Amino acid sequence: MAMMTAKEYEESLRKLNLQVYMFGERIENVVDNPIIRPSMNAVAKTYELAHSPEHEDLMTATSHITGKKINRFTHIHQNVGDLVKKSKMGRLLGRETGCCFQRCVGMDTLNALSIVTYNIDQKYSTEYYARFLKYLEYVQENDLMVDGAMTDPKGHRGLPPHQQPDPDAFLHVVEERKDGIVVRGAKAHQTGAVNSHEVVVMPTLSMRREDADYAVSFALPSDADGITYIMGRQSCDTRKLEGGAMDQGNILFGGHEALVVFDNVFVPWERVFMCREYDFAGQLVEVFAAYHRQSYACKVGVGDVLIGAAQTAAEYNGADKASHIRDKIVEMNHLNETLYCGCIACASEGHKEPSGTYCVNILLANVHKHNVTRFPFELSRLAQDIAGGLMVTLPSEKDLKAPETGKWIRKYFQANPDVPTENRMRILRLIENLTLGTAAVGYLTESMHGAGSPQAQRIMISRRVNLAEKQKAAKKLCGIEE
Amino acid sequence: MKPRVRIKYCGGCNPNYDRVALVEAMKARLSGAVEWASSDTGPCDLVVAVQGCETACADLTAFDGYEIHHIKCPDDADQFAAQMHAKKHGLPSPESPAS
Repeated sequence: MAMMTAKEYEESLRKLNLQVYMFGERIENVVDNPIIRPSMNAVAKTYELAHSPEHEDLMTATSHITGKKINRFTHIHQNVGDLVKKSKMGRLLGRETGCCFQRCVGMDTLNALSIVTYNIDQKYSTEYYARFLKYLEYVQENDLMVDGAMTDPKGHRGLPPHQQPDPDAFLHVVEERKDGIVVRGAKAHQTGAVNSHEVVVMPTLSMRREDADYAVSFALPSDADGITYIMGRQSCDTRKLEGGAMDQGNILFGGHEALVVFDNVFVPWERVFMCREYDFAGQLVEVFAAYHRQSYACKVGVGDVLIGAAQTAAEYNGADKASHIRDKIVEMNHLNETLYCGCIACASEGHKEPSGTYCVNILLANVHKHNVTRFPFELSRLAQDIAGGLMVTLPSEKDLKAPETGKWIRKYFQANPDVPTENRMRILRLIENLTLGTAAVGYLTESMHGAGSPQAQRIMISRRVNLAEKQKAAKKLCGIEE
Repeated sequence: MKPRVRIKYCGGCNPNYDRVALVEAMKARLSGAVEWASSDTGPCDLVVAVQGCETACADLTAFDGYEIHHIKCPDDADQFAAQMHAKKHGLPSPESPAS
């Protein structure tokens, strides 16, 4: 099957029988729900651009299994060039959508499993890698959107999975049958969950022998029996219900996150990629996390949008020539391109794993992500500084359109006389969206916690740097002999 | 006989100019001077790599052995167009864009 178009992707979602809840009610039509629709539009962009000659170089790849042209989101990285293109693709899509486009987690999951299933087989003579390859071919042939599900609710953070008061705080195997396993638990913060054809589960921690039931990885259709989705709220989410075309800020795209509950769900063996090989849980987490930390290249693209919006706001305000404004724009670019440096560096310094898959440099991926936990906040602060306070006191679109109030809004909120007041409002709403609204979920808090909270990167940096070699270098230069 | 020219874009992650608009303008300018080949219509005589920036990272491995002209900015497109027109009229070719 050829790569899906955006329209075909949309139609494929309509065939799913998902159990989705939001605001206490079952959502029957997920695709057209006004709160969820912008997130589908964002994923659809990953399908659309794969058919554009001006973007196919980044958006497509050649499958190492079939030799066919596939969407890069279903590709296993075969060389450093693939890793670099992945970073660039993230920037491209971040800029095109101005939000979380949700498809990267699945790609990172597939790549991580391509490495770890191979390694498990080497030690235990299991057949996970063959199963995985068969599954991968299915995903590639059908151009599927995959939700890579790692984060458990985790319960009491001070206790390991097997000691939790509620044993379901981490997803685990509850029954083993001849034809498969039954699992129970949940995965939290799942971006794009209800826009996905498949969900692939991974453990979220290193596991010990006592936690073996929690060391499980598998794939299921997103509408498998027993799976329930509870949509997460986002700041300013109900603006999407107001029927307007301005106050959302980003009027085209958005993201979503959901709690995904697995209530005694059956998984056939052919879709199980890890089952109680607890000594490999940590490796899967580490490799997935490295890929996913690289994936925050997307925030560079969103940063491009924010910088463009800030510059535009300054021009609309008539303040763009002021030296301090220019300097703030320079600073925004400095921070944004530094993030770009990180995602390119970890890709460029990638290496080949025993399975043949290329993996990013884990230290540099963690450094990159650690910067991502900070710089978008400063970029947002500078954007709000440039935009001015009006961004958070602006009347609504309805007030702009109402005859009684519209005339005052147009009169008093026009700054640069060459710019219609409506345009000034639109750009301020976009900055609001990115720094306080629905997109701030992805650009800020998800930058902080997605792919692991800041401390997780500091732990990895501490583990990965070679301090002894650095000390040798220092001692040599000052003549210390030991 | 008109040369068959294929356009190969870079991925456009952070382009310095509107590559699609530039290609459209170049096609209009070279109307009658070249034949434009798509990836679906067989061989070509030369490739124009439309690179969004100096990094010039378009994947050109499929075009090994082909004559490749790199467009990294609108000036490069101007030079290429001038070169194609010169070829059409049998005139000496101006210096081609850097490869």
